[in-house]
Amino acid sequence: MIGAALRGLGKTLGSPGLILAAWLLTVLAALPATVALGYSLQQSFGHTLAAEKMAEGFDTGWYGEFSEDARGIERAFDPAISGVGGVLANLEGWADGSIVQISPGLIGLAVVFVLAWALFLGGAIERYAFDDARRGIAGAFAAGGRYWMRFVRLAVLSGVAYYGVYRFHGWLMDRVETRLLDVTEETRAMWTTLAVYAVTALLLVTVRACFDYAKIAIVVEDRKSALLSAVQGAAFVITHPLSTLGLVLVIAFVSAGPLALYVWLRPSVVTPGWGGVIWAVAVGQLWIVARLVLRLTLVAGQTSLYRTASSSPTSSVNRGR
Amino acid sequence: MKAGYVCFTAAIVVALATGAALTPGAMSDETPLSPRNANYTMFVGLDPDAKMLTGSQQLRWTNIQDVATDELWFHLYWNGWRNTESTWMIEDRLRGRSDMRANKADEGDWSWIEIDAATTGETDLLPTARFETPDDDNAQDRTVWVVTLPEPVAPGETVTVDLEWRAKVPRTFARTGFRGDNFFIAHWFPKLGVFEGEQGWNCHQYHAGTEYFSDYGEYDVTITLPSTFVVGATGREVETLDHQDGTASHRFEQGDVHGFAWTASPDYIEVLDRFEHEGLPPVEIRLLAQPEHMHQADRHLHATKAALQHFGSWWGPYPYGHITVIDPAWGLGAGGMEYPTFFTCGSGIHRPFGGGSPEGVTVHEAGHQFWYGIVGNNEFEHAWIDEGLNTYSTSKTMQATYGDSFMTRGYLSPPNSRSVFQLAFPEIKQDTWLSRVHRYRGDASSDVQATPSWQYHPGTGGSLSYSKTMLWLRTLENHLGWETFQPAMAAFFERYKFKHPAPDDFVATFNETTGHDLTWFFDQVIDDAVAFDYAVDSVGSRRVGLKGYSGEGEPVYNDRDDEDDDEDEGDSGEKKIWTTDVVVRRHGGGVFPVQVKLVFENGDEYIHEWDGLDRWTKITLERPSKLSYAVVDPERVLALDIRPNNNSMFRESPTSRGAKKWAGFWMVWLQDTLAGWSFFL
Repeated sequence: MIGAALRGLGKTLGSPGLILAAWLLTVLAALPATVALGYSLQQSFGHTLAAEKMAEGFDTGWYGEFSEDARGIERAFDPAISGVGGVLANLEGWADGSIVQISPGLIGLAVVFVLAWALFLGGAIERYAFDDARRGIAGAFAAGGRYWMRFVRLAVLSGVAYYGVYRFHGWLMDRVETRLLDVTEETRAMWTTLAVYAVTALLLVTVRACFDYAKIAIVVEDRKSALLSAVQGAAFVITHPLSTLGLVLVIAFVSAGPLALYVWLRPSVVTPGWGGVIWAVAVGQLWIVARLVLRLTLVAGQTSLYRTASSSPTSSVNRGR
Repeated sequence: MKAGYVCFTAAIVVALATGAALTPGAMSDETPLSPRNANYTMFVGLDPDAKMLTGSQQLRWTNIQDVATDELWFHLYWNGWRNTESTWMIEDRLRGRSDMRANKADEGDWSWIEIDAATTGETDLLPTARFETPDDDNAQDRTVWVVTLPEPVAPGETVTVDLEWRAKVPRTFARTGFRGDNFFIAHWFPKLGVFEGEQGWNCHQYHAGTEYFSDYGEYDVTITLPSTFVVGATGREVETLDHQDGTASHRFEQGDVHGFAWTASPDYIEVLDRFEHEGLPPVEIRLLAQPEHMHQADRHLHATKAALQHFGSWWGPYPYGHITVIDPAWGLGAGGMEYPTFFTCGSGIHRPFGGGSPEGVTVHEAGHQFWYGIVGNNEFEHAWIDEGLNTYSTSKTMQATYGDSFMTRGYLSPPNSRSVFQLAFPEIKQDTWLSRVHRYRGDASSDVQATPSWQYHPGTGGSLSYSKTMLWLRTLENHLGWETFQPAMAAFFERYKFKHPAPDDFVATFNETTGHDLTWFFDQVIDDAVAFDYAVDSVGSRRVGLKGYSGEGEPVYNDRDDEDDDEDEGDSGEKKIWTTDVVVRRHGGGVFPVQVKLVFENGDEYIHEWDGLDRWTKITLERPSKLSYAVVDPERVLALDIRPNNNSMFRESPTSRGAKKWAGFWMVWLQDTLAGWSFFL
């Protein structure tokens, strides 16, 4: 699995265009909402002194009123999710499912992004599977279009599976509440809760691995049925548990590096002047890029693992360009 | 009844008999600070397995009013958690809290208290006993219990009543109960109400938002329980007796207090310290800390000392000489509560210093020793006196000791618990006073503060008693100046320590000691529910001079070149003069004199004093510079202003850097969120 991870990293770094595309995808998806939020903030500042204070630092007086009146995407604005706090909040949200409970104003955006990501991912897998670097980014997206509907159908299936995992998480937490009813040590409660989160994370990763290999099967073997692909993906994970889950764990372990670096750099969210702002946003973007590189490394590594472990009858030559 | 419980009860009976032989206390040697007219000698045993208390108590009550009474009214607080239809549970449900808790409650989670015997001399009082519901006629409520005496107690006379009772300890409701083998026992014994002469007994049912009002007295309490338990309680432990059956009796004494609470746990670690400050009496501090919070012991002690120092210096010294600080067990739900000479704070294993916890809650609950403990107002009816004065004093102390706290965000929360880890945002300071405005704004007009506190709209007690009072006290401080304000507060403390002051006493003290008639202010903040909101409505600067037709008879056209408005001098070198208009509005119903500050582009400033009476006013000035911005109440004297954001206005659009900056930060979060969403594909 370490070999697969390294091969994945090599392929990812060998296709910087895909990294750029993935990053641009997040930028393009986030930009309209960001502009809307910026406009909303400016409207809220109006001609008041809050505009000056927010430029120099943070005005809790203004924020108290703003958050009280917030509607739509404004409700997602919280100084505590700026910088590293946002990453940690998302990590926690991923583990307990609350990440899907984002502001109603962002639900549509999230769905559009995921659909666009499906388009991108198909092309990326094909690129990694067949080492075909001749096609540019547009070509990758075009290739992704062939698998898009199958990926979307697969997403519906995976959505059901993830929903089940989060329901199970809720059930586990209820059990934990009962188990902790007479516990008075916070440390014990913490470890028990962490254990639940770990179980949930393991289930999420397992489900994710099954559907990742389903997608790879769709691309590599040109499978038409999302359901059968899911079965194929699950079968692959079951027959190769150490390498498939191990690869995810390796990538997760490596992810701690950039995250620790981000925490260490920890750009201030309260900084006067443009220099500090540019630095903070730049460090944030570096984190996003690092995160995407790791994400693509996993995809490339999984593709490599799948192709190595199973004989793929189809070659890129026949893939209907 | 369980066999184990029978055995333990037998052990307690033996222990109580032994306890009765304990040596006399030292309270009789003290000079009383209070009337000491409600005095209790109590023996109580705790069976930690059965979660049962068995108690006997002797009450010696002296009638200090000028009319006689032949009744005694007692609070039986623990019947408030007897079932879902008690007044406490109904009110808690209205606050949106106890539905889930009640639904999940098992038989062992509820509580009750039953009086088995009540006598005065040879007379059995039980046949005369009845439950009263003076507040809401709720037949299911059994929290007020009344007995009729064979003879009226005349003014100055003392009656002695002996009670025996049993009580089931609940799984924690309202900071009282058990979790595992940790116990926090408050409001646990039949506690006498307050006799108010012609007005009769003031003994309210147990309400979800308010709970205290009792006379001062001596408490001599012996607690018997397994010897493995560490016990903390009101007062000072004067004697410990180990019994052969593995139990121990702990005897506590305290005079001049109006209640008694205690806690027991085998886990507590005792830390002793001493408060000393010039001009104030020393105080022995006993901290009972959780083992996993020992790294925070100094923070608890430091905060306690900060409260004793500042409250003592500003309002009046703490007279008891000792205080017990409890760091309750995780999940016990007993944190953040005050009892005489004894209080609970509350913390987690990871609380960054500067984030306000556990210092804030510690200062607040230590502060209640002054406002609630020493000045003993009727908290059922005027909770704003103790909670409000204490919240204000807490904020002053926190600012003086620690400065503004910074924002934190928690992660990883076990079920029904606060987060284990907190990430600190040291750059984002929480303005102590402004943060209270946000807690108050939504309820600013929900109830008149003078409304009896237990009758406040459900869930608004925090806004009205804590935040509103704190803000209007801060407003008064700003308005009068600390030099005038502090002596008035100190005078109120001095006059009403060990008494039961009412709102009128507070108003009268302030009017008298400040030399100002502040009735206009108190009428608004105590006897009305008006909101205060001043705002700059519009600002503008224009060149002096006429443009258009003027003159009488044949109109003469006057021209004026406005194209060089950005220059200070006109074409002929003359200094340009600008007329500036600023309109300020009073949006709220509250009236308060405010300053309006005008800042001009050349740096000049002008302060306009406005009485704030009219709904709006216009300020017109001629200056050699255009206006930069105007701000109403620039020093935030009116801390009660519910919308401070509309207090200022620039003439021209201010910088957009703040919006762009924060949108940029937010974008990173959004990208990260979207990347997180991609996981699910």
